[in-house]
Amino acid sequence: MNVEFAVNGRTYRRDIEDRRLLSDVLRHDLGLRGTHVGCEHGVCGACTVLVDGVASRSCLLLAVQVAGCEILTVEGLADPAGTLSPLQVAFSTHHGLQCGFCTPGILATATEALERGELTSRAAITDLLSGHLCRCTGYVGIIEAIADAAGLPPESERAL
Amino acid sequence: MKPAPLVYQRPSTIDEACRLLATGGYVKVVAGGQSLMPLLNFRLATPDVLVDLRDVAGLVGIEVTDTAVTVGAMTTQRALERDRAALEACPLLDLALPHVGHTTTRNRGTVGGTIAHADPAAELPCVLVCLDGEAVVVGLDGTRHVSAAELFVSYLTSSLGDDEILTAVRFPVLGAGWHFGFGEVAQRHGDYAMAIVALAVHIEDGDVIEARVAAGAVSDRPIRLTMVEAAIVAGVPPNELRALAAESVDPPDSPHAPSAYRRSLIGTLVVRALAEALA
Repeated sequence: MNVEFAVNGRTYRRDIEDRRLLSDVLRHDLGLRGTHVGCEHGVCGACTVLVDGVASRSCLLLAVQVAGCEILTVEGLADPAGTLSPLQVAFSTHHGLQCGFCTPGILATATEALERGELTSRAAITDLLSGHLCRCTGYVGIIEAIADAAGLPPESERAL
Repeated sequence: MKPAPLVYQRPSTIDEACRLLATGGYVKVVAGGQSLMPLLNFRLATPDVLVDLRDVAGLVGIEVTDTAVTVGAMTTQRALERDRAALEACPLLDLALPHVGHTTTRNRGTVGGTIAHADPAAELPCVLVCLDGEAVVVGLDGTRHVSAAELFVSYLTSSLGDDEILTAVRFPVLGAGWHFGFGEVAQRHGDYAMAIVALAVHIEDGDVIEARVAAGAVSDRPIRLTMVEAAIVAGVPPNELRALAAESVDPPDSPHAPSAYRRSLIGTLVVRALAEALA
């Protein structure tokens, strides 16, 4: 099926087999391999991207379903000059990643939640992260990074 | 781990969608796809045609009246979760929705999709059974209203006809004097539930005069526990209620949760949900 959609501000027109997953089209057809594929059944969250601003599993969408949509992947989070988003900087500061496999999906989900102003507590952050599996960090650095980006006080100050 | 070849259709009217379903062959409707797409990826489902309802007008929206919260089938679970008026009118939805998958799956997962999918381990079907709600169903022969008791037939099987599409879900507003409780146990948040309880009690002058209790994940569909309801109205003490609730279900063994364990979960969840409602 002929479809047109935008990824990170660039418009693509492609003839795509109906059954192809958005995650595969992003990685294999468009070369945007920052979107990672883990479980391919919606559990691990690694492939999460923003579809019209809404965090969505790209392994649970056919590419033909996003015709006319605007997709934002991890490659589009930094500005064109390469300056990282405040959330990305916070991940670096707080060691919010180790192998980095889960990171692009978490960044997508957290980017939407930050824009909506929904992260008003650490409980809200941990609830958000239930949809993302990380096998390296134990989540502590990830939570601290997102809390920092959301303007919540650091864990050490909170304990005093 | 990739869908088998299929033809993707995107009709713009409900009539066109029903006609596609009526053509015979293996045709599946996709709403948010958060349950169906994993089945396609695993090739547990291999439909020849996938009918996407996203372009069909009139399937998104939430209407709150004194008697019901009516949710268009393609309304996302997240949109319902953000609708304060709907949650205040139907507090059981407020209690149950955080248990439905994860934030990101609720972003795309729809209210109509999870009802039509008829997974006995899903939360909203259990809520619909507890509240005696109904589904609005459209087919080539017209529109009909199907009660929750008649909608869920067995595992992943509803009573919808081959050419029929669920267009809206109606959650009754029970009104003043009703209080609610909800509980679920899963291995991890967002996993398939091992046991679900949705409960509503009508309290008058400090006494429970009516109770509704539904259990999920312990049968081939969400079920009402009528003996437990009668016991609550009769004022049976918590320990006896726990034992009675556990004995009122007969779930199958599963690898991580033998039948006896899931029975005991139902007992515990009924007592907790009642305490939550009475608090």
